[in-house]
Amino acid sequence: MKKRIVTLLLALVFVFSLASFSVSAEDKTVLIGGEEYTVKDPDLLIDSAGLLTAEEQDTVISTLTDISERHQFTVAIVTLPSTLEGLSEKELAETLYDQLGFGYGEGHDGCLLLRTLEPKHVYITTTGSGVEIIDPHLDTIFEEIEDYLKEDNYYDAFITYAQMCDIALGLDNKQEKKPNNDGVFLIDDAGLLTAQEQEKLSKKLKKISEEQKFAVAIVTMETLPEGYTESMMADKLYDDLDYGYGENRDGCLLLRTLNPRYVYVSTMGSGKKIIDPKLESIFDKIEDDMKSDNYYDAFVKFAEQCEKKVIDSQKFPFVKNLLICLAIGLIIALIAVLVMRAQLKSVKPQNLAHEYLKDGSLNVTEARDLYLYSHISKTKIERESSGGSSGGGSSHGGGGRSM
Amino acid sequence: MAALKEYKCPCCGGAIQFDVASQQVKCPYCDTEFPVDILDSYEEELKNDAGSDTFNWTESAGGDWQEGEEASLTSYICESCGGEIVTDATTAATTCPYCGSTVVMTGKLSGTLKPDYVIPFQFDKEAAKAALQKHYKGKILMPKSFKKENHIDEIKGVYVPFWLFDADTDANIRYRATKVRSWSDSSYRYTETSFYSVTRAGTVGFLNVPVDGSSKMPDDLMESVEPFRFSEAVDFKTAYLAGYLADKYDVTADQSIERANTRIKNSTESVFASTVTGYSTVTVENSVVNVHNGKAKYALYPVWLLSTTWKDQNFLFAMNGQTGKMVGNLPMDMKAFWRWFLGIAASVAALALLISWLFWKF
Repeated sequence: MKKRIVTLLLALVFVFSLASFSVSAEDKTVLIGGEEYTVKDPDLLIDSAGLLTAEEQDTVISTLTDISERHQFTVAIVTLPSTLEGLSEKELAETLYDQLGFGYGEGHDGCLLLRTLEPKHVYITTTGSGVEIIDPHLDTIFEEIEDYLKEDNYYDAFITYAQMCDIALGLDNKQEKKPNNDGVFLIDDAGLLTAQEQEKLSKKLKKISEEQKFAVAIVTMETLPEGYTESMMADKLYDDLDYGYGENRDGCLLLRTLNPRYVYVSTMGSGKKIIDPKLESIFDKIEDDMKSDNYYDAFVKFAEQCEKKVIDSQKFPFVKNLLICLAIGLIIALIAVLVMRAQLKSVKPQNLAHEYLKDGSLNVTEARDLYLYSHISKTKIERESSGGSSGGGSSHGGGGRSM
Repeated sequence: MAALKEYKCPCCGGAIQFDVASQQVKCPYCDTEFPVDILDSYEEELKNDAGSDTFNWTESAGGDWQEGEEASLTSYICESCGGEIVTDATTAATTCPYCGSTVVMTGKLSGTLKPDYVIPFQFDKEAAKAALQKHYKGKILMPKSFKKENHIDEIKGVYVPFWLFDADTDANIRYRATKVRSWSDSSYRYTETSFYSVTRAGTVGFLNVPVDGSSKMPDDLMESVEPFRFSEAVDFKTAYLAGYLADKYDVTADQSIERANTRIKNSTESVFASTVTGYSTVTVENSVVNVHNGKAKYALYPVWLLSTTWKDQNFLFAMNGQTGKMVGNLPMDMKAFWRWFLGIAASVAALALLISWLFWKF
């Protein structure tokens, strides 16, 4: 144990005494794992393993810097040729984060991705608000970058990591106002509404969602992150924000993007049945307001339309039920009167002679069962999406229109 | 040149040949494929089908009347319907149990066989009347007026002549049986139906299969009051006939055998089918039933016949005089039929609607 602590301390001093200087100003030569590396300032990327070209490094650094500054949240990457003896990736990543002085605010908010080559491993450590914001999305992030890493496509892996963090942070910025995830149904990332409008609309969405047990959410975005379509983004937002009520996560989410000007509605659970068939008529109703940037009215109309459709769907389908019940009644009545009629008839020929079997006289002398052939028939299973929690746009319904 | 062996497809019956390429046999008509050895085995099974049902009966039914016995019985042929009635010499006047005409006993019994066995009556006339009232109970669709207006015209205790057949059977029965297995993957549900040729051979014996020997007595009515317990039968004595009518057989044992054969064959197939287990469906495809050691006996079984009229229609009820089982078709009130039908339909529908509404609401 002592040996381990000593190794740790030595390694820390050895690796980071130089690195910590680099926070100050220009390029520095840092000795990591016995080799010298150049560290750029601000060093949100330390590519000690030399996985990226200089150009790639610049792009990644600028991306990381942009995200970090925008969200006041460090998003950093360190690559190492190998782990240090006696240190787990976790310990190493945490120590690096601390020693490099990363993090914003009192909580040192931020996260750091550590890539080691020997062994090939990725660890993301989170600090401060990062624990709340990034940790829930870690699985998704790992999933997204896994393939790139396998192909040693580090540039795309790192950029994807940065973008994913950006999205998670973007979503979380709005959540800070209300830590209860279920309570936030409006995320005006594109800033289309005034504060007053936001408050009013937010209340309305919350009221409708909670009363109808059917999430009605609205998200606005300036642009979509690279590689995302409107439907992917809307579905993903719905999943990531954990919207929806009940087992099938009933609800819908409207995503408004400005560039391109597009409206997409993602539906889930009962929303697929209730909203999807009415989507075109809903779009018709909000199109004019959307086109004339009259967003508040458009969103209110959308919310009210959703509420109306949900309420309509909950009305007791009297005629349909009556017909079904009548059919059941007629069938049961028919069976009952046929039984009653059968009671009247007690005279019928007996075609068997079982009562006259000689006791114990049955003697089976030969029994052969020969298999001949088989027929296989198949019928397609109509199944509703199970509404699994783990993403995958396929379980969502919905549609969009540019307006 | 090698001779081509032609098979019959077990699935559709078409002629099929061996396909060298697949080393399988594929039916060109229904596309079913078979391994060759299965077809060979199936051919073997089909060979066993050869042969037809045989029914060997040795008849020794009925005995000869002893001196004086015949003299104590009288018989009469009803002039209005032709029914033949036998009773003891002391019965002077009675009514025909079939048509209700009053008849006077004049003739003497002659030229018929003496029954081997008789099952004595265990129930009297009052019991038969009570049984009929009980028979009416719980028959919801029976017209109300039937019970009230309908009156019993005649109650007669009749000894009905029955031929009783004993036989052993050899059976060789081939069944077509299926097993159904289903499973599903993410997008399809599969149902596999496997067809089997199942053969059962063996023996089973029957004792005292009764066939009504009176052409006047409706066969289905007599089969409906079955079963009689033969264990309680006693050797025939004319004394048992006192106070009752005895019908004289007018259908010989020979003529009755056909019915016994049918029932024995059906029962044999069904009994052997019950040994074919583990399948979803079992149907008889071919059956050869040989009946041998067949023997016939002549017995009188006790039946209470109750004839009633209602709205100018005759209704005949029969009660097993040994077990008390009462049978007889009752008329149906069509109005009541529809009333009940609509009533039940409406109330069930209303209840279902209420339940579905409650489920919806809560």
